[in-house]
Amino acid sequence: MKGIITTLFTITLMSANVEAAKIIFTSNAPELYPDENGYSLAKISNYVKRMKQGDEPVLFIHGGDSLYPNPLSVYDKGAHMISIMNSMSVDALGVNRREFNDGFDQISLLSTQALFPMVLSNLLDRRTLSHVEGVRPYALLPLGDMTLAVLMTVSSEVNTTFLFNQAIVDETSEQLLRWAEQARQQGADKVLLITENSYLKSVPLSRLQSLDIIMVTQDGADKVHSERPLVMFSGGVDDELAVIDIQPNGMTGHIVHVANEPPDDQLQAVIKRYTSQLDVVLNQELVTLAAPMDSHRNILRSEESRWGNIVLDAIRHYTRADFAATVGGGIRGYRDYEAGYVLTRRDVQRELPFGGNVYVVEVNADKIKQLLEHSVSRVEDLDGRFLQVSGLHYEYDGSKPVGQRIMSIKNAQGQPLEKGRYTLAISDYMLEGGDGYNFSDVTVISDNLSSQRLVWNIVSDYLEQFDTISPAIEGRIINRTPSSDIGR
Amino acid sequence: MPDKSLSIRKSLRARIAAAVFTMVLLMLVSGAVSLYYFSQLNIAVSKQSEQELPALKTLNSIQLSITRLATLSNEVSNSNSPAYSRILMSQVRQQVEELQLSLKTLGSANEQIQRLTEIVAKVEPSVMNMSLSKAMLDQVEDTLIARTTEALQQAIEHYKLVNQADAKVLLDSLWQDLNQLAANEHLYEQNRTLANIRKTLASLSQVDSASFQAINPLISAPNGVFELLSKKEVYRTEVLGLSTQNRILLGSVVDFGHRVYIETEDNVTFQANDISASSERFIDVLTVMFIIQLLVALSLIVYLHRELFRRLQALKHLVGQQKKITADDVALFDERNELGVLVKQLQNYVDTITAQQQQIEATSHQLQMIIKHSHMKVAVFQGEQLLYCSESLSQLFSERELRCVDEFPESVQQSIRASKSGLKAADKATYLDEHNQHWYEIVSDVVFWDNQRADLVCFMDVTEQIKAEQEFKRTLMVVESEAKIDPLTGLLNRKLFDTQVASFQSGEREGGYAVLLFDVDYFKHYNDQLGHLQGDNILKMVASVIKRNTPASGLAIRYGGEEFLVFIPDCPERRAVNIAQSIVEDVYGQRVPHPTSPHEYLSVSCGISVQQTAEDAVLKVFDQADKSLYKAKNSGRNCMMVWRALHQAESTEEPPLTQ
Repeated sequence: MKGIITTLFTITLMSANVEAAKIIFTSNAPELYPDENGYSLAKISNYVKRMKQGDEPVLFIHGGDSLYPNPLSVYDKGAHMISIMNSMSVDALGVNRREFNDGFDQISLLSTQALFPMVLSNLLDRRTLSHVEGVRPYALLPLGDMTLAVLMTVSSEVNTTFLFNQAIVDETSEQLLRWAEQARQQGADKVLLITENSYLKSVPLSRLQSLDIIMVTQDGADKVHSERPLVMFSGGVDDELAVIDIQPNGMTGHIVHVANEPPDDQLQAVIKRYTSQLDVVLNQELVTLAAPMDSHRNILRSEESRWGNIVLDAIRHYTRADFAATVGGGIRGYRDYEAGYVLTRRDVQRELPFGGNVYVVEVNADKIKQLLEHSVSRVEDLDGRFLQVSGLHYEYDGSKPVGQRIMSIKNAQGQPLEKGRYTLAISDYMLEGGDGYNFSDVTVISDNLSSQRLVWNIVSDYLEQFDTISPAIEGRIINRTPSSDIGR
Repeated sequence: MPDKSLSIRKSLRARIAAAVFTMVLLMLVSGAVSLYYFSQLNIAVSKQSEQELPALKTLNSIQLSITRLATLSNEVSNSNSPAYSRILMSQVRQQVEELQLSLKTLGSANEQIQRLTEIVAKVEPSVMNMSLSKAMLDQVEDTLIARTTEALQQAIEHYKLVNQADAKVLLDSLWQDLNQLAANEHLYEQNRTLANIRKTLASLSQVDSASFQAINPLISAPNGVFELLSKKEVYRTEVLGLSTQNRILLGSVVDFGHRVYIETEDNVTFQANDISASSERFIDVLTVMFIIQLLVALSLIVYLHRELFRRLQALKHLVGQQKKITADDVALFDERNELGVLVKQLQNYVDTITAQQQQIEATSHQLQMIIKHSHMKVAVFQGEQLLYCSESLSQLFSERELRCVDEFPESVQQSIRASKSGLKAADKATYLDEHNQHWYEIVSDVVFWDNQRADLVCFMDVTEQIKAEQEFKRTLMVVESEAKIDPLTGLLNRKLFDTQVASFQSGEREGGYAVLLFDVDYFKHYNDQLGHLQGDNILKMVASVIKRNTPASGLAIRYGGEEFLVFIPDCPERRAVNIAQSIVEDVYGQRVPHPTSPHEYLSVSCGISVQQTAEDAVLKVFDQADKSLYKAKNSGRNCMMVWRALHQAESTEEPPLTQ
């Protein structure tokens, strides 16, 4: 039986007359709506379809980090994005960190709806000590006359960000290379590994030389890192796609911009199925900006942000806590707003795509210091743990050793914190231990009901009470790092 | 008038009354504030129960409706039967209606609620659409199963018909894949199966056109398995999309419910806080009032202490110890209140007293000066100590050194002590200066000497006085004796009898007294004959006889012109008779010739009476003697008669001597 199929395949392939092949790659694209920077799922879809209609065989590999954060995912836990990926004819999805926002079982459920295989090679469900149900350690994909093996590795940080120690993450290269070898034995001509930067800190590229292609998912400008093996960084809410041209004599990678691509009507229709009736909710105008502001990633993760100030003020206002602090990684608009712009609920949801709830905990000054030290402990990497604050002012020096970076902490009146208890509003993500925060030793004092509201609703309500609002830098966070090239 | 109001303001009584009144007023005010506060609290609580609680109730029912809607929407998306979907849809409509009704009661004026109503309006068509899509999906799935079954049957039938091995292999593969298609849970696997089916069909068309013609339309033609599968996917994503949207819409409604609930809760909390804050304020006010009352009470005590108790103390001190009230003292008291007025008056009194004291001092000083410069014999003692001794006094006791009382002569010491101790009433203390024969009376008095209390002892020269007194006594004795003695006879006169003898009482003595009454016989004749001078001589002679015979204890009295009386106390009758007889005989024995007397010589008659009982008065006895004398006269004279009370006849027992 197998022999017959193989024969049939051979006939088909030979008739296709393929000389070369393409792999299209993206990641970190959870945003449903198009952006001014050219980002558009419909445009990406159109590009992919156009390429696939060409002579060359094409695979569209998705690096994940895209089921979340996304406002709709808060309600359907990523189902809509699987539908969209189906429509975009994604050929394989690397299950990345953020896919686990709702745990293993949700991924298992979504895997049944996917027209593509989901791949994750180095993570086991601690409950079963096996791979996540519905997710395979590697996928073999036909690419013209070749077979491409796709593998995916995440760093163990997933245990601190989403899975909270429910996963066993293998941060060595041995098992990965065994999977790769197995794939090659099963006929894989090329082995492509999708991974993230933090994994490469544990497993350096030098140990992965036997692999053909390494795609590093990221939220930023796409780039080619090296040619052999071909290492590329790609992802983000932008108009960039990483494209790998496979020629008989070798592989090259380049970046493609889809800004000028026409949108794919079919995909737009699919998206519309999910959004057609939401305008009544999302188009609600909230407030007019009296001054420009931005929600750029590097600022949110290393500096005081105008928008961050507003978000945190809203949280503090809602909770009536002494202070509010949430991770900069929870804000993901990554865009500029001009003065006079009218913010809508859609904007707020886009900026705060994780949804999330807020809790009020009781802390003392020492705990606040500890939290702020953690906040700036990886500021040089623009880690998402960086805290945006309200009611607090702090200065830090990123050049100092970790744990000694906070130079001063003051309250909103500029007075040093006194001994005694303070109330601090934080996100559910932080409370659960996300980004390595530890709140196991504090008391939660907010009630259940008030903690059920989503952050974007809290912020929207806050904004709604004003006609205009002036985003401003108030000196809440002062970066005293001597060489201020962090995050630039 | 201003003075009066000022004095009212300054009056202690008015001030204390004002303080007490303030306290009472504060108590009244705090009571009134309590009443007011409790009425306000009542209003607030009833407002909360009338307005906020129904709103919370409505919100509760909204929350419930939303939850039901969410459940229903979920059930619709999972419903397998069109009939069940229709039942669910009617329930959805009912819930939407209820929801809109509840929203209406919350008030359509609210912009939020308007928007929410708008969202809720979208929910029904959305669920409806989902239900329709679901029905379509169900239909497509049914058709798909039918088509697949048909294709399977065709494959089996043609498998039986064909003889070619290639065709048989392909049909077998097709049959397996079609079977797999129904079992596939993963779309990815399903897609791979579909790809296989496509390839198999393509091969089949080459190998066995008959079976291809029979099976291919069922799979590839419109409404074939491929199309139905893609339709199914379309409807599935549609249901999925609508379900997601419904969730979002309902999520907004739920969130709105949360928000309004939290706002209402905040409102209730705010009101509760307001009530709590106002009660705290009320407690503060009460506390302040209490503190004020306490302060007023304390200040009242302090005030009383300062204005009254302290001044009373000071006043006590002033009255008790201080002898002078200075202006400073007065300044301590507010002269305009009652106490001040009192002290002011007291000051006046004390001033007066002081002035008088000063006057007294000046006077005593003057006195001292006068004493010192006079020749008075004066000594001043303080206790036993001699403070001052005038020169004239020291001359009196020039032989002595005088420093204290003891150095005066003994008699003087006693006198001084007696006079000092105020015993002068008994005897006047006197001192006789024997050398100079001068009498001094010692008197003492309390004086202030050099501002000290001292005794002034004064030796007053009473020599003249005493001498005059002695002279007077002597004169008086003479006068007295002259008055009692008859100048002619030298006997006692009748006046003495009247003043002393008549009132004589014998007392307890054994014997009574005797009254002897004599009368010169025929004296008138004698006098007429011989003249008054001779008559006086006769009387002198009789008097001397009577005097001679009268015992020392007796009294010889010239009672009248020629009548004589002898009064002898404690004299028995016998002795009285003897004495009378002696006198009668002695007179007759003188042998004085009487020209007209039958007895030739001058004689006397005598009546005797002796007191018989102690009760008998002198006058009675005298009267009895007088009657006896009369008898003697009648009996011839020159005789005596004794009074016999029971036997008067026996009075003549004694015959006249001359017979």
